[in-house]
Amino acid sequence: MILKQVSVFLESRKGKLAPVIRHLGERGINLRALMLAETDRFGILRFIPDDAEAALAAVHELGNTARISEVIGIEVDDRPGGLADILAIFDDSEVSVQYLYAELASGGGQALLVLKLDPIERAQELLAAAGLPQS
Amino acid sequence: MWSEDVQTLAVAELRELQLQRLQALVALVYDRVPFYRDRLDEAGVAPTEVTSLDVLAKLPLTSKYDMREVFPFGLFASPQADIVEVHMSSGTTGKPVVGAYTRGDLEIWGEVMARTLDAGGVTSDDIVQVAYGYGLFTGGLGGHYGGTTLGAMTLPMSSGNTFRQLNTMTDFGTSALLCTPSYALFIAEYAREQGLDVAAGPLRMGFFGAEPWSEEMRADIEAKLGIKAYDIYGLTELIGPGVAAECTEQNGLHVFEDHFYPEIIDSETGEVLPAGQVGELVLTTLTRTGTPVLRYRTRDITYLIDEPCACGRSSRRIHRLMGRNDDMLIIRGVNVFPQQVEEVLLRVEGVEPYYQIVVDREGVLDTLEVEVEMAEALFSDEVKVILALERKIEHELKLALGIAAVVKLVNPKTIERSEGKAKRIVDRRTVTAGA
Repeated sequence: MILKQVSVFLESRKGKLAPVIRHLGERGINLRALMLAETDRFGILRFIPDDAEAALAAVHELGNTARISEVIGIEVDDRPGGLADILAIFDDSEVSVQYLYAELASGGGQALLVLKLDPIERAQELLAAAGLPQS
Repeated sequence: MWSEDVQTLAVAELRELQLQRLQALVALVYDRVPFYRDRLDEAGVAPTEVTSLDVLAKLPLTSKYDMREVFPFGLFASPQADIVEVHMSSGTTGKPVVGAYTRGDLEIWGEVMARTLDAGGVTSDDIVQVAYGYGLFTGGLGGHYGGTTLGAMTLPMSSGNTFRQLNTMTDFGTSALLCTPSYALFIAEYAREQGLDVAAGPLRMGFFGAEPWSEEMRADIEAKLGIKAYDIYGLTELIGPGVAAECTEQNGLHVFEDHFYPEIIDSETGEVLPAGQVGELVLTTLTRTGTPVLRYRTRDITYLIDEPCACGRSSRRIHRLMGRNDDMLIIRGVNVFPQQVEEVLLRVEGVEPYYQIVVDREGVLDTLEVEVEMAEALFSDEVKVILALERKIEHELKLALGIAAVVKLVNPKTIERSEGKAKRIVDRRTVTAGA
């Protein structure tokens, strides 16, 4: 399924992450999955909120640069080899993984995998052909 | 002492000489340079009214911007056929400033640079290594003419290639080094890494200028290279290096007053200040005929020392430079204007015109960091896209400035907005005034 991900630019400086997370909480936004990518110069916080537009607005209230982008979310069985099976779908295609992260299972035996795939349209076709649910 | 007669002239005689030369200068520029004639007319001063040195205060000031406006030949006071050499200030956003030299001007330059080297103890027995850049920049050739005028064996090394600088220094037994103070320290560090003990060698003197430096840096250079390090001063607009230099007392720079007349003014009001009061240095060329300059505003902050010096020179001294009052930065000896950075940034699509330049010193070298706001249009959820953007801006900055800069992306609206003069520069280098 297509998920709306919010990415937030963070200066590489102490004390830049916590205010963003706190503010999202204050605005009643719940995060399903998140990941912090960091370099020695800056960081990018990426997360899947329950309401992307509200989350973007909340981040903008703090003055941070942010954007919404589309990523693919896949529910995978929480078992050894679960991720490998998903990645195998793209083995012989032109689709490449730009990045991925996961929400570890919080009960129920399923993990949410978040993938930035390029090109996204082709990725969706391959996932559908592999019988993964589209919604 | 080189040219001892004129350098030790009684003050009254020196003032008389200066007045005669000032009168000749004003007559010359009024006659030959429309730019100055218009300004003198505006000021309501005729050349015949220059009857004392006090009249100088009534003459118009000249700025770098004025000089750029008449680029390239607008300040020539001699026919082009009489010009034998040209130098230029390092390029800025505007046009560079051109300095043109007649054969006589080159002799003056050699003379004042010979005095500069002599003031630190160089003689015709010495081996002088000139590690300032040769070319349009005045440092290299200025040092060169000084060395050859003095009769010293002069090595035209130009800057860079530190390995070769050190080899040559060792092979030839260089006794005097000319370069920027930061390059002197770089050479010292490099020598240490190579296991060479320069301090134990024949190098005895260094003549350093073209960028701000401190007493602390002097002490460091002197200890590491085992030399006496002298502060020298000059600028392309006037002639290049050779306007003023320290003697072995190392207590202020003697202005070669028979060629360059110094004044200190209040930058705001233009009022001439007495010796001892800190203000902006204004200089007038008294003898040059290629591109003579009337009351040039150097933007350098210092004060005049009008007390006898133990060395016997009767000229007034300027205190080691205490700063600059405009926004030009000198980073690793290179002139950098915020406008240059701005131009580069604005060429990159999506970059907002809010930036800050942070200059610092790491070890012995200046560092340049440019903070740029991360606008929505630039942002990507992919790290590699942002890294590529940073590299692109850094590459463009390197091309435009000639020195490397590090780009740091910051949150929007974190750089101070201003209606007036924005604070574009944070200079963390501590150049202290010294004792």
